[in-house]
Amino acid sequence: MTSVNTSLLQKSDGSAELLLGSTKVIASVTGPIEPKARQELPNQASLEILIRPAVGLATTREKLLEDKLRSLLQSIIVRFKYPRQLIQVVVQFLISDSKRTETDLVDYTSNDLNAAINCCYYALIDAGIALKASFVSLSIAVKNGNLTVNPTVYELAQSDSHHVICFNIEKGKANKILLLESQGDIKEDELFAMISKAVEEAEKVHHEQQRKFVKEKVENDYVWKQ
Amino acid sequence: MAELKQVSFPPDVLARIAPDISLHRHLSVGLRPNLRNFTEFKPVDIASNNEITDSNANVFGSSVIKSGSTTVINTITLGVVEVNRSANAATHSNNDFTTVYPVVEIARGRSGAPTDEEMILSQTLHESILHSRLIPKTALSIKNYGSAVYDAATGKYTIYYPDLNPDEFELINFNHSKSYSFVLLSHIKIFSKQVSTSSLFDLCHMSTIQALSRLALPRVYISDTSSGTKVSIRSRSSNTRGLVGVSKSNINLDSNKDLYYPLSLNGATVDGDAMVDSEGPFDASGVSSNFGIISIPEEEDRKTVLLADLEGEAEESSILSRLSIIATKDNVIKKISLVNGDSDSEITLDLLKQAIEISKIRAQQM
Repeated sequence: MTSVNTSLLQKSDGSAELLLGSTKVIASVTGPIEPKARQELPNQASLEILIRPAVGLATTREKLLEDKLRSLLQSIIVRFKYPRQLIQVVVQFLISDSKRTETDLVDYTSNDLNAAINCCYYALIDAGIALKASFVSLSIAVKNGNLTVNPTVYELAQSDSHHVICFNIEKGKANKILLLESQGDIKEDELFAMISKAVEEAEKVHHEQQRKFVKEKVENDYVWKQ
Repeated sequence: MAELKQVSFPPDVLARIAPDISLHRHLSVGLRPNLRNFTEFKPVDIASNNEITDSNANVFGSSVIKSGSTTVINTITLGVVEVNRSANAATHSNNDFTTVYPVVEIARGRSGAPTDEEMILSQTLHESILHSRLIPKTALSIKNYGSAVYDAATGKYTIYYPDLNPDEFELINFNHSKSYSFVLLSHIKIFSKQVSTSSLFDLCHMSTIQALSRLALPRVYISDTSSGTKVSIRSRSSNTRGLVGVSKSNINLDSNKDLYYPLSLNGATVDGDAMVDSEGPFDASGVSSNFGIISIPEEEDRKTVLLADLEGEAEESSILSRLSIIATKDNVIKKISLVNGDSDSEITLDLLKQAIEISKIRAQQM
């Protein structure tokens, strides 16, 4: 179950709300704006990433998610287009799999990371920030060699390994891996089988969801429509 | 018209003002700025003595490792929490494991709030040990806790355990039905940091595994008054002090070292009170290795190379495509963290395979 809704925040340059499985997240993009003096970079845009959990205050868990998201976004945003400027990305989780009080399950951050990345894609498009390419992220659980895309937290808990994989999409083809976070007991052949299956899945998501969304968005937002 | 002279800098000055150019020049002659080969790891020394644990009553496991001038000191202390027994009924395979709670501190000559780097290192360590399924929850649960009994004749306390002193224990009026578990608190201090953040994670991971493999857990007993105890740890349940119906019992760690027992890690065999010699501490956990990928210009073409164990300012600031792998010697990968940060030097699947292969070989040699 995936649903996207954009431009819902009035005061930011771009925003998106994404429901992916049982994770709901809202991302806002403000920028390019003037940075604080210490953030300013002479030849490219600086990024400020803030992640807020669904419940409570941000902890080291969110710091690590911020770090992963930053390493991805700084390579996909065309940063030299906005020298001496700041792009601020705020990700607020509304519903998150983690820290469910009714369960005693261990904490998995992979669904959160996956939802944050995908939501940032729509928010960056909405803000009109130049991107080098499209990107699609997938959360995958592997159990006995079988893949589950967008697993629930229970499926994660019973999996052998779990992965977040983000592809760079150019001309409708997933041509390189931008980010891979894999944990658990991973066998090498399983890993490469997972990657090749994920390529198909990511292209499917790109064609069926992202392209459709961007097309509709341009049609609706176009000022001179008939 | 004045002729514009070409400015030249000595190598160490160039390395500071243009680290990327300096790095490219080094790599094009087949050397790294730290004079290592491309896939050569920095040697790591692991201290074999157990001095910190032996001389500090509240430290139950420790390790000291050195890589160049970088020194990592890891001490593990214990906490006791009450566990909710009914919650464990459901069987979730990954839910049977727990992790350490690390606090990483990089000595910089000033104090203050932890930096992002320290927070990220701690959290990565916390998550990777959890997901590598190393510490079973059962290994930390406290079984057969004893009771301290005051003997009025001698004026001393004696501790009786249900498994060690079954006859005496039957006579004690012992009605304590709560279950407790240990929590592992790992304090990691890093001195004279020289290596990159990703190499620092490798060292922290290694030191935590080393400290865990040496960890000895004490017996726990309950006393009704707090007097006469050596190490007293307040349980989390006693946060309700001052409310109605709080028992005055204290949870104590027995400092009798003869009763210490080793932590049984998942996949590691424990023989008596020490790990079997043929088994290394890193067999079950794996060894963490990190790589950077950078392309260097080479006559008309560019060549992409894999650099192992990043070190120094030049490598840290100019290499954005990074790879971190925890592999065991049994061909199982516990963690991969890959970021393709540089579009010129892309991590291909072949490079990933190559890096996995190197990590496995390194795990076999540790």
